[in-house]
Amino acid sequence: MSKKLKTIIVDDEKDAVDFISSIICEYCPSLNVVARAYDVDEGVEKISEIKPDLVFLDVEMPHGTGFDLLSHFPEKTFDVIFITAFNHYAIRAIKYSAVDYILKPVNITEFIEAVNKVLFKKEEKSGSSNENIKVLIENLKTTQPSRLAIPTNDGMEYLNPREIIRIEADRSYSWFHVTGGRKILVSKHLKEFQDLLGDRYFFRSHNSHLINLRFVKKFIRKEGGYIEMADGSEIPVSRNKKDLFLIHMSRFKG
Amino acid sequence: MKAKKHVLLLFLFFAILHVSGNAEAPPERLKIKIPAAIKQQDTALLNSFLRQGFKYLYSKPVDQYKLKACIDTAQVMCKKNDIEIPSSLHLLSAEYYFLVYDLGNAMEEAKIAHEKSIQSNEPLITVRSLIFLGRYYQNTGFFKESIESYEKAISEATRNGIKGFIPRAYFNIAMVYDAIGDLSGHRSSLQKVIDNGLAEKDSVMTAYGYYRLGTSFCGDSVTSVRRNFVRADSILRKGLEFAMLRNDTAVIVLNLANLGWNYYLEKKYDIAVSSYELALKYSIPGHQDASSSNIFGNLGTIYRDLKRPERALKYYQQAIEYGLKSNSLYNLQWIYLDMSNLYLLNADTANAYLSYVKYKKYYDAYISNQNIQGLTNARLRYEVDNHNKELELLSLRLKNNRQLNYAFSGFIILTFAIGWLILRGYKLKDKRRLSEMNRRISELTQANLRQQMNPHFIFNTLNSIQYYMYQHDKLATNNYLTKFSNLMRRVLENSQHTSVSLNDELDALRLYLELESLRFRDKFEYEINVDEEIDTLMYKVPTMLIQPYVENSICHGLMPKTEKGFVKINIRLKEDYLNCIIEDNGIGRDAAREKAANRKKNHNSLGTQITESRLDLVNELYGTSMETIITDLKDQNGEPLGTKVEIHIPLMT
Repeated sequence: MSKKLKTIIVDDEKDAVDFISSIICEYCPSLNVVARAYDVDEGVEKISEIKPDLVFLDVEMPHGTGFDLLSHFPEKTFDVIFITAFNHYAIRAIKYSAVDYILKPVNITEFIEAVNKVLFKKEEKSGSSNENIKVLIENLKTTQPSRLAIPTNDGMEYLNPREIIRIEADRSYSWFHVTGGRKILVSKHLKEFQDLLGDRYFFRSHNSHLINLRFVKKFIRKEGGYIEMADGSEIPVSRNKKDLFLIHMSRFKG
Repeated sequence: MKAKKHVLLLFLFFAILHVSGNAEAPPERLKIKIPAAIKQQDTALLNSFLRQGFKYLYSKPVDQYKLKACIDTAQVMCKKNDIEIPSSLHLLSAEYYFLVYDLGNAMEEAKIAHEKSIQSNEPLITVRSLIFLGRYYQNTGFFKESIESYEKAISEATRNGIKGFIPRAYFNIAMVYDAIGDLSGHRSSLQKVIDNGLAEKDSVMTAYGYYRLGTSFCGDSVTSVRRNFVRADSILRKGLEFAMLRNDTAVIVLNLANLGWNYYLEKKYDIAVSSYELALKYSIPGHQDASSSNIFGNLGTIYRDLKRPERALKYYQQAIEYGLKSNSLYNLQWIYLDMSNLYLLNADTANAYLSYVKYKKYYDAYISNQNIQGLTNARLRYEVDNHNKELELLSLRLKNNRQLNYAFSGFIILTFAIGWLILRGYKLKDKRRLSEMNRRISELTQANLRQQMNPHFIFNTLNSIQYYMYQHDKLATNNYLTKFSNLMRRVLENSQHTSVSLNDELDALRLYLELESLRFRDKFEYEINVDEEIDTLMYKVPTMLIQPYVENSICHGLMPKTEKGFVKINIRLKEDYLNCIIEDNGIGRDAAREKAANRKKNHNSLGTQITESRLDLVNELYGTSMETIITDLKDQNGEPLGTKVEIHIPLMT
């Protein structure tokens, strides 16, 4: 923690830029705002010139988005915190890629937390954030994000949802069971993944089980009802979810 | 072999469903021989009841109760005398069920009527039941099936030389083509209406056919693709000719009015005016008030275009008079709009504004009327859809259940198994109904159902933010502001849907409570408990259902209280519903009412009122029993301890 992080703020609204820099000034002594940019082109220019450590990046700007800006830097050396007013589609992609973002209007407490996370990462030197951004750019290209970034014990793991057979809750942790018989422990609640994944392909059959409908092999009515998955595991079905499960299965198309 | 098994399985299943659907009807399949004399006498009586029944059916407005009485009597007679229910009675029942929107039974009865009429060789009933099916499918949005049924009816009628149905059937086919926007199908069917109407000497249908065909060439504007002035003119004239043959006022007026419209579009105003005036000569004495209104309105528009505003106004006023007489919302709305435009042209803004206000009023009424119709249609369509899907699902279950395949050899076991499946299917019905209906409604009536945040709350919150700002407490201000914006974001997002996941609803509620407890420091505490078992992401609830009750508790129960209060929200999973309990230890409803009366304000919170009418609407549409029970909590001495609101929310996904 010797020297301050060189920080650039990119946002088309001057007020927003001023506000963020004044929060940084007051609450984040370890950052140093070295430049401000008000559109994508100016942002690209200043970033290549200054080579900052951290960029606060607005998602929606009049000429191109924050994502467009990032695509200019395939070998990115800086961290990014997105700032967005509201964009459902983009937020979903951001969440999928486990990249940090802050909503406008900016909550100062959350802002400080996000900054601390970056500082912490820098100290640990876990250089995964570059990969996360790559995943994000990739996910933005399709309506159904193709890669899910999950934080694991030793960094980040990037999964295609199609590889996930099922996820099992273990108190506030989740066990991912993926194809090839591998198990991954993630320190997030199952509900968060249900929120991200569970629409058409995933089904919460039980309080502690989220299953990929693609890998359902059998449904057995006996003994309160359970599902046999492609990996041979037997997943219980809640009493009130049996009918729902059948409906989801009948709607489910590859 | 496997496929065959399923077919047979399905067939058996249908047969059983069929019988179970008519559990109360007499055993139709049993033919018991009875003395011919008795039979003859009773048959005559039965037939008279049937005739009476059809008479009620075709009378306008239809007298449902008399019709039902006829059907019931006829059925009782059949049962008593062991006569097999005749196909015509089945058809009559089908018509009745259709009338009262009991679609499952209507379909069932119509199919039986169709089968039986073939068995007993009654081609007339066959044709009529096929036409019924055509109409049934037409109204429920199964257009392909509808056309097929009508075509079958036509070929059956042709084969047996039955008159009086073919032009009508072609006409209905034409309407189906019109509904799906197939112009060439529409026109060729109308041509067939005309051809067959001529062949059967049915001048009414012929004239109608010409009228619709001619209209199909008119179009709404000069540039319309379908427009062909010459053809429209010649066809409408032929229609007029045939209508005059029968002196059928309604059709004469329709043909004349559209002739006028056709000329108006060509800017041949003099001929247009004379056509319209001729039409009026028929429509006014013929009491065709809606048509008269339309014609007067069009005359007004012609004179407006001819820059003769006084004359135009006179016609508009007459149009309105007749429009009001016939309560024709459609005519009223466009006439007022045209009038408003006319006033604007003459720079009479005051009258333009008044007319515009009227236009808005009638337009809204017209649209809401349309919406109601749309809803009814959607409901019809949904129910039929649901019926079919249920069958699909059940057949899927049959397929999935291997044991059933083994049990195939034993018919009895199979019967039991299917019976069991049907029972299970019924249990499923409600849930499926809800989820499916939910989707439909959110498409159709989002606007009607949308619920909003109480504006008081919004401005009070902004006021509190301002307070913190003046206190120079930057962090508190920022915290308050961002919480508020999160809540607004949530509410805006949720209000896009008529139902949201319980998770989203509770998120919004939590934010709301957090803000309120910040605003009224130390005034109350709150708690939200949700059963572990409940999958809050999966289950859905109507948007903003719980919040108004909580707001009520806080504003009317806890605020007037001197000491610190609490509000508790508990959500439990019951057998087939979510039980949401909102409990407070406020001053109770009686005291709150007193306070409201003292302030001489109607403090019956708008929020809960809206919520309650919403619950009614939701219940009506879903056929559910979402209900609220409000209990006044009292101690042993009858002193109020607070209020408990219990909402039963059916499980929706």
